[in-house]
Amino acid sequence: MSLHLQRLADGRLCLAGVDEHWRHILAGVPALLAEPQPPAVRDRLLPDPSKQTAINRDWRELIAPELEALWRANHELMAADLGRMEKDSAHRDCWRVVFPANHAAAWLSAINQMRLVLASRWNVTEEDMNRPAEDLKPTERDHDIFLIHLLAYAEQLFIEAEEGSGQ
Amino acid sequence: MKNGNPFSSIPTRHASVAGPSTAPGVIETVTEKTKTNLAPPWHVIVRNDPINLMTYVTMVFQKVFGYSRQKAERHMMEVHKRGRSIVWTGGREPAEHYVRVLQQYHLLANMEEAEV
Repeated sequence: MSLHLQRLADGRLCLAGVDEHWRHILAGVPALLAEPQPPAVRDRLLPDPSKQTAINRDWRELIAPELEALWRANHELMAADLGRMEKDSAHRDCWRVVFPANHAAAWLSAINQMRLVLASRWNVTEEDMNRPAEDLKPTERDHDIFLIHLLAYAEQLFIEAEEGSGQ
Repeated sequence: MKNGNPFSSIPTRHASVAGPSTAPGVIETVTEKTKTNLAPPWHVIVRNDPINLMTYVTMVFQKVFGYSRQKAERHMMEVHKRGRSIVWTGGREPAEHYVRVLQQYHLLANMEEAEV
């Protein structure tokens, strides 16, 4: 059974097909995002908005903290949902988690941010992303590149949920 | 869809007045130009990155700007192929708002004063 996201009759979303591997990966998203990030990550997530020093200074002072607070709220929402994950009675090897549909945007944001954080930590390039899976080596960097691809699969589920929500 | 330039030019005012130094019977025409306040528009620009999914970028353009899927995909492909796309042009304050929202979605967004 593969990871999938379905809308229940009551409008909530159910992420099911969560095997031990996926459970570990998903739990790692809010955990990693809660860690202090190196400057390269911060530069990627909060780039200067213009070439004008004054605008950039105000941005760092006013907007950047606001964005970080928004992202933190998304991570916490995802972590809280993950805390309610339960064994899937229909598929004993898998877990499932049910959450309100309006949490999908927070999950999407957190998963996307996790991919960007990993990529920024390792300075992942387009060329890296185009490498076939069989060329990846047993290194920490290539492990994280593989994780970026895996998380893209989960992210796509949430993109489709968001597109289907009509929001 | 918000895509208009909120700045409009202040028309040059022409006045025909007879000043005290004007000789009798002669109408002196004074052209008074008010200072025009044409703030240049700003471009909101999204740059390419190798991680954000194409479907994600398209979705964000649709959500943020209310673009049709076709228009959103056109901008997304421009970002992907040319490295950047001007996704919106207008006043400075709305441009700042859009850059903030695009960065909230983790896109590489910035703003540049348009050359006029």
